[in-house]
Amino acid sequence: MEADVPHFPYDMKKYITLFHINWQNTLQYRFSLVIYIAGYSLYIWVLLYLWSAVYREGQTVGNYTLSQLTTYYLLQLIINSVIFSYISWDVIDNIKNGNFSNFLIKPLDYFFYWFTVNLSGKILEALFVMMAVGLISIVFWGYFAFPERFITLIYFLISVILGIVLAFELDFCVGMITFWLTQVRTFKYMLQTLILFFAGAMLPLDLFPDILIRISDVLPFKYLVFFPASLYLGKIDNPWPSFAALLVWILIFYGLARILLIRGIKRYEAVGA
Amino acid sequence: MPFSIQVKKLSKTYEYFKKAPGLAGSLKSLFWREKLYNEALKGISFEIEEGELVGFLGPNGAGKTTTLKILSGILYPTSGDAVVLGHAPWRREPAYQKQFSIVMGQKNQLWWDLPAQESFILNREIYEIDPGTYQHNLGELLELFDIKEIIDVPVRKLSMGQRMKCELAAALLHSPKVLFLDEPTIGLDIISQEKIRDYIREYNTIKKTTVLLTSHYMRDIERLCRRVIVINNGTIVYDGSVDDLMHSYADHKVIRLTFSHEYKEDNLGKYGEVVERSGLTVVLKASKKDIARSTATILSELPVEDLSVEEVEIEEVIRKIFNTLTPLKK
Repeated sequence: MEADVPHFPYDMKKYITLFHINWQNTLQYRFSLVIYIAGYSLYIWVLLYLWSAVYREGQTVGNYTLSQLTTYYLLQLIINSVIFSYISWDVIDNIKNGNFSNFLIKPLDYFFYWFTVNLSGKILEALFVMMAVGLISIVFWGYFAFPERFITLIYFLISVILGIVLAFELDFCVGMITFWLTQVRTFKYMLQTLILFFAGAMLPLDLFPDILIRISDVLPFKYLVFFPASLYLGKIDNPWPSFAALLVWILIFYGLARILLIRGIKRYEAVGA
Repeated sequence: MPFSIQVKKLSKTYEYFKKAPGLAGSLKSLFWREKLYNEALKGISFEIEEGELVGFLGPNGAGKTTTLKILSGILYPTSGDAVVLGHAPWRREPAYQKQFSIVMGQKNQLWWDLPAQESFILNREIYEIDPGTYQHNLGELLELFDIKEIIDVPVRKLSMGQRMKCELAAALLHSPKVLFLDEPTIGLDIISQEKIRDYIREYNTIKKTTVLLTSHYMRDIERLCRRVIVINNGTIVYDGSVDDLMHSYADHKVIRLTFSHEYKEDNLGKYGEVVERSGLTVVLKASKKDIARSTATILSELPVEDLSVEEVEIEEVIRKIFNTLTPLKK
């Protein structure tokens, strides 16, 4: 099967072109992006009011100040749109309707194809969401905490980039299940909720009961939201061990994605579309 | 002439599971499923020379698409061998992928929301076509398919015929040596069908590209191909020229006649088998051997104003092959 081994980055140019074309494709739906931002802004606004109400009652929430917690949610929104991959919906469709065949006949790598499409979509989305968050943080200036040190921002950026890769790999693996299961959508919904929960997208993980914290520590999902947000908030002094662990997870899931893809193709070849 | 495609005893058996109907059946299938096998191809062999344009004919489920999918590396054969341009297709070597194309009438390879031009550019990069060759090929294809005006319109706004032309152009940009076409005229109106046929024939003539085309429209085959491979139930039942096919399986011709005045008598059976009779016109089928004698007798004995002898339609010949040679097995 040497032909299914990617030639990246020797043929990087085709993926760069794909990146551009996908941008054009996404920009066909400018209006939906505007609606999306409007929806996001409203959501953030409601959240800010909710949490300021909680804090007005004089309670503290874990070791989070009001500004830290609201910042966490604002970050979570950025991170959610920038890091989380939803590409598997397309992958599922692509395999189900047999368009997957198009990839078997072309000198194109399936993994890198979707990686590129995902990355190009994420970057565009990030620009739009950051505009929305920027607008809101100006209105609610006091609620948004900025890091004290510049290096924190660098750490945060690294964690976001690595997070994009890990999130994509996880999502791609979920998409691969389509080769074996026809009812993969239900499964995908379940998994997505679970991942969002253990990523810390609903609540910072350190506000969880002990047992849940310990579970989330052995899972890779916390690197998707909780870890980058904590970095930004300056709650992690030495991020390097976590970066190393994150890299290991990325390698593990890259391997898994490749194995699933190769076995999936074998099955597809045998069964047909 | 060297062979572009060589297929030896190629077989493909699909595995699938039987499922009882309804919810109960679904639940049951979670624990126990009966495995069933479907022999789509039963050891077919054929060879196609460089530059040939061959039609692959057969009813739905005969194994046409399965064969094309194996030859383009989408499916892995159960047994047997196939070599296309010196490559085993299922190894999916980029060196092979850059030399062939497959267009499926029911599948879309262009980006739906973008103008076809963007898909062309992406193909330029995917197939690593150098800019000079790309410009040259693109110019040629725009001219041949007459699509200059429509390549900057989003694909979703094109008609089916226009889209198929763009699909073909996208598939030909890298000058493939072998082209597989799976039902390229499906869903098109008569005029568009005719046009697509013309383009395919012209391209084959100019470029000497080997073309293997499946269709269940007999017209496609009749107009385009000198050679036809007829497949049914996973076996090849005929492989040869379209003319020979007509000769060996059409043992009769069609006599079409018009009476000069009303003719009511019921004795037409002795001149041939009556296929159609309405008013003054009659269509008869007469054995090829004594076609001369039949026409002579008709002319002398009946009040005929006009008479013509025609070949039977290829459709009918094919139907006959399917019905007599290989009765449908269950």
